[in-house]
Amino acid sequence: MNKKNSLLSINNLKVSIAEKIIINGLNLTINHGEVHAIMGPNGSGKSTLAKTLAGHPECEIQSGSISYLGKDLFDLSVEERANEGIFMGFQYPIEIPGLSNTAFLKAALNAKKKSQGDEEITAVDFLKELKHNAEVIGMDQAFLNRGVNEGFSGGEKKRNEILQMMMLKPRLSILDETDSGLDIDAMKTVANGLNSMRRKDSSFLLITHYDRLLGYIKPDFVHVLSKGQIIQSGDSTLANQLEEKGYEWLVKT
Amino acid sequence: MAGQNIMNTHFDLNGSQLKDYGLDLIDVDWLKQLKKETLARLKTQSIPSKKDEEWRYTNIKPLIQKCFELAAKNSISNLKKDKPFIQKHSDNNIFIYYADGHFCFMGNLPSYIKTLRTSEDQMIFQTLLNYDVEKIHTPFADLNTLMLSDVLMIETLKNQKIDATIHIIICSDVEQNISPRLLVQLRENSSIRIFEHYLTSNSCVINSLTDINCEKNSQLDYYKIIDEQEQGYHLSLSNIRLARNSYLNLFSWDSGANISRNNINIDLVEKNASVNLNSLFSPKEKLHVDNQLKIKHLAEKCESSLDYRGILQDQSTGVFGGEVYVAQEARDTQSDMKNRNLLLSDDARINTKPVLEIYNEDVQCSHSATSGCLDNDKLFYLQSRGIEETDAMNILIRSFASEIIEKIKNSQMKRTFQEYLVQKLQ
Ligand SMILES: Nc1ncnc2c1ncn2[C@@H]1O[C@H](COP(=O)(O)OP(=O)(O)OP(=O)(O)O)[C@@H](O)[C@H]1O
Ligand SMILES: [Mg+2]
Repeated sequence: MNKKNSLLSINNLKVSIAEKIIINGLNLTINHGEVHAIMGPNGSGKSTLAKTLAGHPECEIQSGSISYLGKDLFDLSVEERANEGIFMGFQYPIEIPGLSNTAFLKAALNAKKKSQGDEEITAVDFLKELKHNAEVIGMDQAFLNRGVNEGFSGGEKKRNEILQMMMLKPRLSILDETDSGLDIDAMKTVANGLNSMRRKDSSFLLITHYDRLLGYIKPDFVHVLSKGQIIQSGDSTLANQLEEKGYEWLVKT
Repeated sequence: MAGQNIMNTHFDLNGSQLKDYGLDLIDVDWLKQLKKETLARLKTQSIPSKKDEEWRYTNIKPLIQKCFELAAKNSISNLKKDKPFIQKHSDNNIFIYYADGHFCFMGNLPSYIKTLRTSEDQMIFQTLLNYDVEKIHTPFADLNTLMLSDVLMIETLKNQKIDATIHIIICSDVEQNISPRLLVQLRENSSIRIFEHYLTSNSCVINSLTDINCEKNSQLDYYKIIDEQEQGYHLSLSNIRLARNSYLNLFSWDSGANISRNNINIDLVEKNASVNLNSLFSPKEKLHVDNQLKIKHLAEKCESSLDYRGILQDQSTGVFGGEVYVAQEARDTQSDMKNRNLLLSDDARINTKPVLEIYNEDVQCSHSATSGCLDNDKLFYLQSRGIEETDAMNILIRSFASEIIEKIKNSQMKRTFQEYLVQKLQ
């Protein structure tokens, strides 16, 4: 069941929210270093899949299994998953007024260090890294002292998700429509951020509606999700086809 | 009918108790006279009960009992004037302690601060204390007058900008009744910063009364921390009057007592006066905090903004009663009143009642009140970044309080409140 070398392996997963089945028999394997894209109509269950992977309490597992790094994912709490390297970029990032972006990132980073038995990061090293990453994605310093996402524009919130991702260096980054709401330049800088992280030990699951981001980060696989199932998988050219023809031709067959 | 009897219970102060309130010991004639009049008036008044709208959510009876009991005992705090924690004044910080029934300090006070006990000039005290009683005469104000043994007065000069923080520390480590009285007179175009800090470590009853008058163009930066013991009772009444173009900025934090009740009455009496109130209250266990605010817009173009936040744990209870009154002549009024409460346990309770009473159409007034537990989406967001649930909860509780503290502009006071936050909400 657990394929050798795979980072993540989802088998026949069924998930419900509020007693309604949303993910309905989904199979997906992501190997180390791979980039997968998931596309699909509104309401098909893309965010639900992402939230299930992150451990959102709303998502109730009905059946199936997920193994991550050879472990049963369902045995891990939300924070354990994060500290084991799962990162979800939220489709709708949450605002936390009163908590500065910097303090938030530091708490997250130190939580990860603690879980690995490492010492806390020094203030100097932390700020250096934060400053560097903020520069890569073109985020102004002022945003670092503001409340987490407080009053950020849609695009600014998405950039902030990328900043968090870059600081936490996850093994598996699940980005839920992080490209939506970004202007053309921001799309490029965000893609820079992602590409700077592409390594053998980091994998991506990109949820998107457009092939634009995929032009910057070429996915190894593109999947189409419909009614909680993957109904088609292909290489990066599938994304272009979908952009042209929409989903109807797939859903009908 | 029995219930009515209780409701109409009068303050029972019979003659034999009089000397216990120190009346016999007072050698200042006018003060003795004032206390006698106060006592006579008090005897005709009823003890407030839960039937009074204003006292609906706070049972005042045990407080009053304790108050008289302790007043009769007249115990003296162990805190001595020369205790090492009594700090010496510096250029930026003046420290005044209230202990053993009087205000004490190390070194000389600047000329704009006087105490009744040490002042040569009693005239001004006499005038202000009399004026005060005429105006308010609530039972607790009268009780304060009856039991006070010292008064602190801060009176600035015209155009005097004082860049120091006046720390007024009301402290006690024994069971006693404390009646601090504070008079603040800000003359035209003057400014000052006051930090009132209540620190008690035993079951005291504090009944404090503060009277503030801000003249034209003056500015008061006012901070208050109420940090009392579980068994203590805290009552404070502040009457504040703001004249043309004057500005009051108040930050307070009340961490609760057996009963803690804060009444603030603010009258915006002339054009362009403005007031900005920010407050946190955070009772734990079975503590109780009751906030009662009355803001009166009596002139045009005045502004008031209130932001009250409660953080209630365990079986604690809280009350927010906020009333904004806008008179007919108060055109172009701006007012915003907010009360948000975080209920951290199923047993914690809050009663919130914001009231607007508006008598003209040219106003921009808003009010809102929300109460609830920690936001699950925020909690999940933090957890999804690796932060453990209990840490995430603490972060959210602190961020809720920080939003208020972040508004403090004075860096020293901001730090003081931030440190208090870490101490109180870790
Ligand atoms: N809390 C909830 N209660 C009820 N239904 C829900 C809840 N959350 C999600 N759903 C439903 O689950 C289905 C899948 O939602 P999901 O957010 O996963 O879709 P999506 O593929 O991400 O859509 P989009 O492209 O619009 O982001 C939708 O029909 C949605 O209405
Ligand atoms: Mg979605």
